[in-house]
This record gives sequence, C-alpha cells and structure tokens, in this order.
Amino acid sequence: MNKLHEIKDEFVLKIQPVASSEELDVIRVEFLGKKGKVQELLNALGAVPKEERREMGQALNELKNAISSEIEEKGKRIKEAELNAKIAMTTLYDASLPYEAKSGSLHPITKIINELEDIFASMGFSIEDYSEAVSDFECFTSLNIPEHHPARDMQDTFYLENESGQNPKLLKTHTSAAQNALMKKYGAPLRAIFPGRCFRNEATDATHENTFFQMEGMMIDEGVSISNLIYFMKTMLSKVFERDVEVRLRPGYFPFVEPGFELDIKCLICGGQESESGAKGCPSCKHSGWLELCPCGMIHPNVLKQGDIDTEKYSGFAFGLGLTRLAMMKFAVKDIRVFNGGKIEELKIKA
Amino acid sequence: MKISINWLKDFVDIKGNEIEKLLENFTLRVAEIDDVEYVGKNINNIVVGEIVECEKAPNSKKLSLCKVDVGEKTPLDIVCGAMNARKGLKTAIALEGAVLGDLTIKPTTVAGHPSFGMCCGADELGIGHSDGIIELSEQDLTIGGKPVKNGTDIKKVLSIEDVVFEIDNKSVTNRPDMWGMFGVAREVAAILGKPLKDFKKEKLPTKSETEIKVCEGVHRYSCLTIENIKSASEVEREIEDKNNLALGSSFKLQTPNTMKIRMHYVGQRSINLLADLTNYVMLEVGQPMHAFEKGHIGKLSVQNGFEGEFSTLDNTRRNIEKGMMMIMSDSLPVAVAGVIGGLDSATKSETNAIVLESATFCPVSVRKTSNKLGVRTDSSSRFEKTLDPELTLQAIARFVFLLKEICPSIKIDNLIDNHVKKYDEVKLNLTKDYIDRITGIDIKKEKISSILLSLGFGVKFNETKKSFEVKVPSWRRTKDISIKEDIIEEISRIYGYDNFIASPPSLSMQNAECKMQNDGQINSYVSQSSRLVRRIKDILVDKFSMHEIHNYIWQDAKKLKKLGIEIEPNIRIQNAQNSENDTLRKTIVSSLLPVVYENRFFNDEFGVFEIGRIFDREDGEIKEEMSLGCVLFSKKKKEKDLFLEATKIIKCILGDTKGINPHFVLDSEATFKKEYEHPKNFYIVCTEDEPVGILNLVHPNVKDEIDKNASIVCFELYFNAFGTKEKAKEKIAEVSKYPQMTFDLTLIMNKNIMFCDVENAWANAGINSLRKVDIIDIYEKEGSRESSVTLRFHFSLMERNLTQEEVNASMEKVRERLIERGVRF
Repeated sequence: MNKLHEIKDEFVLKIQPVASSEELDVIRVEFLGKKGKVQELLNALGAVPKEERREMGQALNELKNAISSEIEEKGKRIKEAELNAKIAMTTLYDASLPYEAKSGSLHPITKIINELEDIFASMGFSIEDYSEAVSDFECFTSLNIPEHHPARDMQDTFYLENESGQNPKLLKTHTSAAQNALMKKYGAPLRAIFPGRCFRNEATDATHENTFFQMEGMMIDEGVSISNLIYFMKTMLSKVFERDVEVRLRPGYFPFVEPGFELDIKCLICGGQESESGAKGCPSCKHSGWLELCPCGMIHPNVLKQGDIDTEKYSGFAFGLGLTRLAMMKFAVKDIRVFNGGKIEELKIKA
Repeated sequence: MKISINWLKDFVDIKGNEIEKLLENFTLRVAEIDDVEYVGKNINNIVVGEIVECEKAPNSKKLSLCKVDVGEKTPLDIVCGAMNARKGLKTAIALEGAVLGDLTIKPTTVAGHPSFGMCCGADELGIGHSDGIIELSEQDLTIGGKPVKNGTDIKKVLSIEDVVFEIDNKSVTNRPDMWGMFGVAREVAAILGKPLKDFKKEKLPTKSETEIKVCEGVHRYSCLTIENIKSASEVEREIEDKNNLALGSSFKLQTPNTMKIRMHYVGQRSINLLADLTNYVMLEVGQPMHAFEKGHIGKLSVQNGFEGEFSTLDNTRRNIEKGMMMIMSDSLPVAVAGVIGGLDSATKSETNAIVLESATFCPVSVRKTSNKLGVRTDSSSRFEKTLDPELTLQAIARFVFLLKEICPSIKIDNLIDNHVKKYDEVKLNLTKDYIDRITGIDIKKEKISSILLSLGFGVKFNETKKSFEVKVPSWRRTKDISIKEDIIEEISRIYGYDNFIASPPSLSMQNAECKMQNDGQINSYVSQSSRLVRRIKDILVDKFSMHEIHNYIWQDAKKLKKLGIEIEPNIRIQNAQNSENDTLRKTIVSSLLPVVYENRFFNDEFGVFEIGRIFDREDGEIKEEMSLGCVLFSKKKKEKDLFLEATKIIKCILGDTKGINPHFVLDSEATFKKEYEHPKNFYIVCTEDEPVGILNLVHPNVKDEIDKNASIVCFELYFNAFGTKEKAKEKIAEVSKYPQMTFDLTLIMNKNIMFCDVENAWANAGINSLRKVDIIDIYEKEGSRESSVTLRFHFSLMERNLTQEEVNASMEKVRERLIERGVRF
C-alpha cells in the first residue's frame, strides 16, 4: 500500500512541470507502460496476501485510471497550448494585394453576338454566316433595289476590282445581302439570323465607321403577319435588354420590305420621362424619348419570289439589328472607332 | 423638309387637335419628324402703327424723327434708322415692354432725341430678312373686308406665331407626293379623318399649237407666257399719270408678307416676287417651276447635246457635259433641266413678262447631272423622287391664281404642253382575307375604305368576292405603289401600328437547322461555323488568356511599312478613300502584327487573335475564306518556350473542336513565304491528310521593329481546311483498375533530329501496354549540338497486373529502336 502511495506522489510530482507532448509520452511509458510502475505493482499482486489482495487490486485500478485521465487531461491542455503557439506564429497574409488572374478578352461585338445567338437559338432560329464580298445581285437586285437607286452609288459602296472587268463584286453594305441565298438554300418555312460585317464607303469619325456589324433575321412561314412581327420584336428585344421594353413601329421605307418599319424603343436612359428642367427626353434620344433601333418589315413579295418562295402560301418578316450600335449602347462606348482600333486596353469590358 | 402648320391650315382644319399629339401621330403614321419649333411665341406688345410725320434728324444721314399713330390719342415719338421710313407707311411698332431677342423696349433717347418705341424690320421679328422696316400692305391690313385700325396687335395682321416641324427627308424618299405642303396636308387630313381642301387655281387657256422639241428624259414640259405683270397700284397710277411713266418704276412689286413669312419659316429666302412665287408654288404643290425673263427667251427646246460653260443663277460658271439635259432658247442654254436656272434669263424685281416653266424630268438623269455638277437644289431633290407629271399644269394654274391676286391685269398666253411619259392607270384587287392575313388583325371594311379614300385612292368593294378594287391616284403611281402589299401598308399605317394587337407567331415550324440535318445536308461549315468559332474564341480567351481583336479587312500600308513590310499584292477596292488601304488582306496575321506593335507596351506578355475573312484570287474569281490568326508576344519567355506554347494552342484548338492531333511539318524551303515569316522556323500545320495552317516565328527584321527584346510567334489556321472536317467520334477514356508502372528515360538527341522522327520508336512498336509518354524535361546546354530529353513512359494492362520484367522488356525494345534512330542515352 505504501508503494502505491509512493507511486502516486511521484506521479504528481513528475507531471507538474511537463510542457510538451514528448515529455508527456515519457511519463506515460514510465507509469502506464507494459513495464511501467503501475504494471509492476499489478504484476506483483499475486504476492499480496489474499485478504488484502482485493482491496489492493481495487486501489491499483483506481490509481491507474486516475493517472491515465490525468495524462489525458494534461495532453489536451498541451495540444491546445501548442496549437495556440503555432497559430500565433503564422504569418498574416494580405488579401488586399492587387493580384489578378491573367485573363484574355473577347471583343465587345463578340459578346453581343454570343448573347443574341443564344437568345435566337432558344427561339428556334438557325445561325448562319455569310461572305463579305458579294455580288450586285445579292446586295441589291435580289432585294428589290432598282438599278439607279442611290444605295448603289460609288460613294456608298466599296466595289472590288475584277480582272474579267464584268460585274465587280462588292463588300456587302448590309447583312440583308444574305437573304436571297438563305431562302434558296433552305426554302420555307425558315427562321434564321445572320450576323456579319458590313461596309460603307464613308469617312470615319466618332460616330461613323466604314466597317461595322449588323445582324439580320428572317422568319418565313404560312400566315406570318404584321401582328406577329410586333409581338416577336417586343419579346426578342425584352430578352436582349433583359427587361420589358416598350416598342413602337413607325412607317419606314426600305425597298426590300413592304410594309416597312422603323422600330423605336423607349429610351433606356431617360425612359421618355421629362427631366427636372421640364425638357422631354435626354440627349441620347435627342429629346424624343425614343431610340431608333431596328429597321424591319414584311419581306417584299419580289424578294420572296427572287428567293424561290411561294408568295401565295408564305409570308415573312425581316429585321436588321445594328450590332455595333447595340454594343455602343450596352457598353457605353463613346467612339465607334474603338471597335476596329486594335487597342487591347480599350477593348476590355469591365464591370 | 420644313412644314408650317399655318400653311397646312389652308388645306385641312386641325382645330381641336393638340399640336403635339398631332405630330406624334404624324411620326407614327407618316414619317419621322426631326425637330419642332414653336416660332413667334415671344412676340408681344407689337402693334400696327402709321408714320404720320417723318423728318430727317438734323446732323444725321440715317436717322428719321417719326411721329407714329399707334391708336392712342397722341402719336408716339420714335427715332428710326431705316431708309424706308416715310410718311404714310404702316409698319410694326414695338411698344414699351416688348422683348425682341436681347433687347427690351423702353423710353430712351437716340442721338439726343426722345424715342418711345421701335419700328421693326422682319429680322427683328424673326420673320425674314430685310434692309428696312416692315411695310404693311393694304392686303395685310384688311381682315374680313374691314380695314385694321392702328394699334392692332401685329399678330392679328401677320401670322407670326406658327409651329414649324421638320420631316426627316430620308423617310420620304419614296414619296414624291410628300414634297409639298399640300401632300403633307393630305396625310394630316387622313390621320384626322378631315376633308382636304383643294388649292385655288386659275383657269388656264387652251393649249396652243406651238410644239416644243424635247429630248429623251423629259416626261412632260409645260410652259406659259405671262405678260403685263404690274401691281394694281402701279396700274392705277399709270392711268392717272399717263404722261409720267418715270414715276411708275418706283412701284416695286412686293411679295405679300404672309407668303414671305411662311417661306422664311420653312427656310426659303425671299428674292423677288416672281422668283418667290415659283418657290411658293413648289413648296406648296411640290412641283418645281422656273420663271424666265421673257425678253431672253426665243424658241424653247430641251436638249442633251450641249457642251461648254454656262453661268447659273448662283453666279457660278459651270462645265456642262454632253448628256446633261439643258433647256435651250434657240441655240443658247438657259437652264440646267430640273437642277438650276441660268443667270442671264433670271427674273429681276422689275421683270414684267415671263415664260413660266413647269416640267417633269427623268429622276435618274437629274440625279446624275446634279451629282456631276455638285449642285443639289430644292428642285433637283424633288425631281429625283419621280414626280407626278399631272402636276405641271396644276402648278401653273396655281401660280397664275396667286399672281393675279397681286397683279390683276396680267395677260396669259401661249400655253405649251408636251406630255411625253404617261403612266398607266394602276388598279389593284385585294381581298379582305388577304389584308387580314398580312396584317394579322381584323380591320373593318368600312375603315379600310375610308382610309383609302382619304388618301385619294378610288375604292370599290365587291360584296360577293369580299374584295376591294383600289385605284391608285396619279401622285402615288409613279413608283411608290404598284402591288397589293403597298395598299396594305397604306391601310395599316393610317389605322395605326399602335392600334395593332400583337400576337405570337404559330410555332408549327421546324427549326431550319433541324430540318437541314434531317435532309442530311450538312455539307458546309457555314451553319456549323458559329458554334466552332465561338468554341475557339472561348478556348483562346479562357484557356490561353488571349485578346480578341477586330481589324479592317484591307491591309494598312502605313502601319505595315512601320514594320518594314510591304503590302502583299491582292484584290483591290476600286473606290477606296485612300490608296494606302485599298488592298484586301491575304492573312489575318498581316493585320495582327501592327496590332502587336501598337500594344507592345500593354504588357510583357500577351497574345492577340482574330477570326475573320481573308481574300485571294483563284482562277480569276475572288476567293474568300474564314481564318484564325494568332500572334504571341513575350518579353518573359524564351523564344523556344513561346514557340512550343503556340504548338500547344494549336493542338488544343484542333483536338478540342475536331479531335485532330496535328503534326507540324518543317518547310524552311517553302517558296510561298510572306515577308514577315521566319526563313527557317516555318512549319506547315497538318492533319493526317492535308495542311490546315501555318506556324512560324516572326521574321527577325519585323520582330526587331516591334521589339528587340521580345519573342514573337504567329500562326494561322484556315477554316476551309479544318472547319469542314467531321469531328472524330468521342468516347470516354477507360482506365485500368491495376496499378500503372512508369519508367523514366533520358534521350540524348542531336538537335537536328525532330521529336516526331523518334516518336515512332515507341508509337509504332506494337507495345499494347504502353498508355502514354510524357515529356518531363528538355535540357539544352548552350553551345552543345545535342539536347537531352527526359521522357516518362506509362504502362498498364486493362485485365491484369504488369510485371517489372514485362516493362523492362518493352523498354528494351524502345531503346533498341531509339538507337536505330540515332539516339544516345
């Protein structure tokens, strides 16, 4: 029994200064190990007189448990202290440093085209591509633009040299130039959009470019009506601008549609409201409250006929969106020359 | 084109309509309105006054001291500087408190003389340009047959207050009938559902027998001789003082103030009565006219063979070429037909006999002439719209009516009329069903009829056929309206698109692309290209942090020259704005190199790309194809690493989009190299069977021009070559459940051995347990002719474990085959 007390005292004395997991392990082995002090007494239990053995055994077990739980407790405290010390040692990192992932950039026009293609694909339109050098027939004749129409003037259209000297090709002045080929390729019914580069022979400045993007769309089917066109344009533009837009149609003249329209949307900047000074609208809508956005119309029967579409059975509408203008509106671009300017910095879109 | 609401009121009653609402409806139903001006609003405190006394101020050449009766008990003292201030003149007097621009009228002294008001000129009131003060005529001062008292508000006498709006000319290019007030009034009447009042005309004499010879391009030539053009008062005075003719000349013919004001508001300057009247009729009816001084006119004809100099009205000598239509008097030119009159035969303020021309000319011919001469006039721009020939006589009749009001004693004679081009009557039949089908709504048949009638169409409805027979009026049939759809537009727009009920299209239709696939017709990349293009752009931007650029499709000589590159001869634009960018590009890279130059300070390392069109000539035809061009620029990476980066990008693009693993064929000897391509490091990118692109270092000269310390690599992939390929079938990679064994081996290779030449040592060795081979490291000692390449070989079998012995045996085989290919270890 004395021995037992001795061990107990010794343990209390020894565990006191322990400060690390390693030291604690040494003590654990010394007292609780297979050859440890407690085990030694347990092994010697057989030699204890029978009447004392039971009492002694119980006391030994209690001692073993007490030591064990004491070691465990101590171990926890040491771990915690060690962890705290480690955390205290860690370096503080500065998340505010101006690090950025290296990133590329899509051209703003591409962004617009991608968005529109997704919208139109979801409305069942196929997406088409068309060449930039086209014939006079594609760009004008097939679109009911008569021979002496001012649109054909040299000052508006880039004509390409032709070795044979006959029927020079030209750079398409509008995406409508693809209408005829697509009608012939697919026939009716037809739903398609075709974004593309267009060219006009004019001097460039902040609002004029000789190279710009348009997107033409066509829908031809049985019984397609003006009423359908109004519905469709409103739905489509609400998707493009991601909000409900108010639209209005006005008469507009384009030889390849009849009736032809100019489509306006309520100005996105001022909403057509009067300003504080009482003036109507804002500078971006020229104080009219409306923005002219998209010429459209019912496809002219002559144009359908040129595309081998049966006009008795089918009718359709077409529209042309100015993608470059749309990009200017959407990304608040002030100078149109930025798009073809090739300056990476100026083409990056920021939030 | 500017429109005056006061003028429109001559033809249509707009009472009870808010002007703003009316203009909005005009925009929605007729044509775009650019601008609206509310003129004369601020003119207040200005009255009719009569100068009852007028004395020259002492010591002043200009000033007159006037006493002016403004309806008060005592006349006002007013000092006036105008030359035409005289006793008996009735004019506009600004009273105390009137505001004219910056000037507020208050009692003052002028050169020491008290002045209690101001005699006003047309410019001060904003109603015209004039040298002196306004001269109110008897006509002005008679309202409802009663003379106006002095002191009456000037606005009761002159229509100073008006609303002037400007129609966007472009939106009425197809409407020859809309180029005059009367045509605009017809539209307004239709919008409002009000009747249209015709303009007043004088009856014309029967046509004379005289013939007028005209050349091709004259649709109608009418003219009338008018003589004895003298004002009523002049005639009276002549009768009174038959012996004193000298006095008569001081009675200058005056254009009525009402006309002057209207013309001023729509932008037409007053010249002299006869010129003003031709302009007034043109602005009103839409028919350009010209008055020749009779004394200068012999036998008239229209010819297109004249060549030489000709002085026009605007006092300019112009070169007339053959083919331009000219009005000739005997053998002398007197006007450029439809464009501008001649200087010598022009009317002057004292002209008292004229030949009045009213004609219709071929629009194309007029446009060509006016373009060549560089003169666009109100007349030429109207003729370009294809005018209705029926107008010529109506315009003459209107002119005579207006002139007779001023000069009642005129004599008219010799009406010549050669009507060459007559348009066929246009009648269109369209059923109510068809109208419903195209509009998509049900517009009542009574409404349809009334709309068409209000626009001047003839309409008959056949009840059994439920069909309209529509007769197109002469002013709409010259080119504007010829088919059923044109009629539907007329009905729809006046009905109002804002009144349309929008309805969704029926969705019975298949997606065109699906349909095409069903037909098995996907044989071109076109319909697939947008997806392909988009995927490639995403890869380049997201994975390789490159920047997309758009360039012009022509080569920029100036920018290329900076890099020491000459333009590559190619298809040219006939009419480019300058010769430095009139040649189309043959490669995208040629557009991107200047871009790299301009961005060289953007970053130490960047890549740019464009997917666009390139052009070439093939068998005389223009060949256009889509191409991807990329240029990589780095001041951080070694040239070799940048070059290898480019191969990675190419593999990634072709692998991802088409499942193609390309190989690169060195072609240092290629003869078709561009100026900017490296003489030695020049590779053709190939798929198994054909070339799809080019990869190369940029030529050292060009590179140094851009940046001496940078490495620059470029490549170009042609969509026609790879875009059309069908994508290889894709399947999921099967991975063995058994552990993989690896074996590293370092190859010592002579630098002129290509990796692709040693690759088949294992690739074609028939080792079916070899999964893949990775490059771990490449080491090149400077100056050494050899490089060491460390490879890691991965082995495994799907069905069981491999043994070390098996791997060793395979590697032994590889080793032997490598030695055969000149590799050491």
